[in-house]
Amino acid sequence: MGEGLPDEIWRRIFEIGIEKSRLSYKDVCCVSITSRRLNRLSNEDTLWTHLLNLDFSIPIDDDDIVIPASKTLYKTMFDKDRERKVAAHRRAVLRAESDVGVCLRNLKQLQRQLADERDKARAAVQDLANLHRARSASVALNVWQPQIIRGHHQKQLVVEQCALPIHSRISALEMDLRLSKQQIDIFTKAYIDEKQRLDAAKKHLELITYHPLPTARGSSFGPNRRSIEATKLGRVRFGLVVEGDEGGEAAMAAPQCSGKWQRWDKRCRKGRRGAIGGGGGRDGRFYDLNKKGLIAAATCKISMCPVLTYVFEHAVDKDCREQEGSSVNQRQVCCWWNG
Amino acid sequence: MSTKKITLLSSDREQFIVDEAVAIQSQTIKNLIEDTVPDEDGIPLPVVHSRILAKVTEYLTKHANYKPHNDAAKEELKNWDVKFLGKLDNNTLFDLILAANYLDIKGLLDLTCQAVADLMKGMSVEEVRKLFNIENDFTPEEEEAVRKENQWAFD
Repeated sequence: MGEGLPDEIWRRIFEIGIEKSRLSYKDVCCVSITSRRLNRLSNEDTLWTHLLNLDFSIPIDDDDIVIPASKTLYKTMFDKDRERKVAAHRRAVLRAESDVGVCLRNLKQLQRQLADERDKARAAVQDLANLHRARSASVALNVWQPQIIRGHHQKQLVVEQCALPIHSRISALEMDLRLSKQQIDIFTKAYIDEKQRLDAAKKHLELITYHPLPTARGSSFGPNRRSIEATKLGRVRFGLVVEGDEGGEAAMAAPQCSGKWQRWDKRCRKGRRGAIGGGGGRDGRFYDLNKKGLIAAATCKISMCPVLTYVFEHAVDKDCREQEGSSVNQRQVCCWWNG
Repeated sequence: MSTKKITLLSSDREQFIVDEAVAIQSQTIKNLIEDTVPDEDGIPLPVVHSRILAKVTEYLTKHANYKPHNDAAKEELKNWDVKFLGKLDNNTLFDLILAANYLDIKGLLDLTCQAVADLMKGMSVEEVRKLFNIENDFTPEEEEAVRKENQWAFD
């Protein structure tokens, strides 16, 4: 069947596939893992020269020109390209984060302004109330004690003098109040807008930092990096990666650990003596990247479990993501581990 | 001239009678007609089974009678090709590639090769092996090494 296809047909398939952009570097690499013969055929320079031309527009003047070791060259170019993409992505993430930060700051400022304005409005209302009281008092004065006051020249003058300022003062205050209300409306509207902008920025950030397999890529974490990670995939309840700077110390703290990927048996959580199984189980696994040993132990003492449970749940609470703020350092874990 | 009939004989001795104009799209058949004295039964094609030869003649007949002169016609022919491929199972497709290669029909070879490339697109290693019935002849160590060597493409 397919195996029986002669070499030149395979070449033709690759050539046509690549030419029509049906096959990518990935497909070709996939084919090269299948068998010796296909490995030989799919590593041929003619093929990779085509791919280089297509993907990185390395010009081929003549169809007969073959770039030697072109698969290696392709890989180099590819890595470079990826680095660039990673850098661009990091920039985009930083930009999105700063957007979120700016929005938060604006929101805070608006909140402050709103509070100020509300205080002002409240003060105006208070003043207004006082003035109303003063006015009615002065009216009462006129109505109930006309004789006395008329007799008393000085006092009448005071009341008469007061009458006008009170009116203008009241209208000024009412104006202030209206202004304040208007300002509050404006600020509230701006606040809502800013909030929407914040939501959009957050969504954008989430979108660009999204990765379907947060834990499946354990190998991509470099050594000497501490992180807690947990995925939102239903099956994974939590995961903890703890990397020690001082692995030796960690090893002393948890002498039984094997340094292999370990799975923390769910039974631990129930407070029974729980075994930790080996292997790369997807749920509740710890792993220990520098192989110096930490966290994972052959057996887990009952007394440790609640503490550890706390650690993990705490980690998951923090957005199920590796976070600087929630990262557990080795000493802490050792403490927890030792109860 | 165009009405001259050619008889093709499949490996299981089945006769296919086609116009010469249809048959000579295959370079191999053209050479055979010119170079050999025809058998009374027809031109023997000992490596092509009747099941495949039927497909080949179907393709050749369509393409001989249908010389596209404008874009619409080209488009229609393309659609016909897609339909033609859609009716094939994978084994027939591979046999057809071999036949097209043997009979030297460039159009059909390109079409079928492209179809195979389409099949391969986005497949995993295991799927490709299964599709082509490829035996994994790597030792586990070798396979590990090859996988590592190609790792870059997958992360």
